[in-house]
Amino acid sequence: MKGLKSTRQMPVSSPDEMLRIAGAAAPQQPSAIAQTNGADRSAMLSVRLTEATLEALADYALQHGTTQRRVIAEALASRGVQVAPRDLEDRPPPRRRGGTRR
Amino acid sequence: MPLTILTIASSKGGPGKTTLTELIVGSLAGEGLKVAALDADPTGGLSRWATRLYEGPSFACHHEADETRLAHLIHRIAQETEVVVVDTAGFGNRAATVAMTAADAVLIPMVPGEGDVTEAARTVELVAGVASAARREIPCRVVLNRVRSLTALSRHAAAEADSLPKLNTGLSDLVAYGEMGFSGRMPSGKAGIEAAALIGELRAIGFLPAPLNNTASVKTKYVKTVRAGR
Repeated sequence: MKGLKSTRQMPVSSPDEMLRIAGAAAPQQPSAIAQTNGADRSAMLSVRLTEATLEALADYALQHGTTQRRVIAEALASRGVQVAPRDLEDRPPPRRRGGTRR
Repeated sequence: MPLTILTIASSKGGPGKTTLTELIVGSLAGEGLKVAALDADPTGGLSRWATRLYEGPSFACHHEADETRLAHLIHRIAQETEVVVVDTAGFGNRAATVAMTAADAVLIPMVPGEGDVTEAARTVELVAGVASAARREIPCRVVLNRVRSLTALSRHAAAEADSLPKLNTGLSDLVAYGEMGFSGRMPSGKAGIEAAALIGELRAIGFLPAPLNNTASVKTKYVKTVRAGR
């Protein structure tokens, strides 16, 4: 390569070998980033409720300037269900406020 | 096969790992070497600098802090690059250890301070442990950074680190290095001389490959490129 001499004594280790050696040298070390194992991915929950309940939910969210999703998440948290912090945020910004059928 | 994989590491935050990486990568790219920078720090400071601010001759920059993906990335990049420089996060973490495992040499920046000397010593020990597990030599050197040569503090910190393998050259406490972080331009003047001396010593001890013969022409092109961008 361009007439340059390599300073390497041997080929680069395989990825598996790198991970094995790193694990052997410092087994207690944490990952540099949080390992979520997919637990932070979002998924859908489809629940069938009466229209009146859904209307009430939409109206409540509208009156309190938040999302229906957050109202549900807060209700779950208040019952002791372990809700992920990001589900308690207004994220993404509310697009559909509901409560239009008055 | 790549010429060199150089890992910049310290279990202490703030000793100048990213600054040192920027200096080395920018200097080698300025010489025309095919360089790749791997940012293994989750904060992504190096990759932000490389993609948004850096103005010199181009080099590849990848951001990956997950140790498994980093191992695969190093293995892939090393096949197509002449020099790979890996910047790591400032705490003991698996990605940094993987980067040490892959390295031909490790640089450990250290600023004058008790915590910095202690963590530099720990990092030297970790490199030795990785080398032992890998059953090969992985040389490392401490690089004194933000040195104020006339102060008792700098002299004391250097003396405290006497038992550690150190480079003779270091980096002074110059504003030019901080400016590089915002301007994206390699420092000139005293900082430029220090950077050149550092690269020279790294070459002398085999941590970096020898310069290309066409360095002068690349430098001229670099100056023109920078001026054109102003």
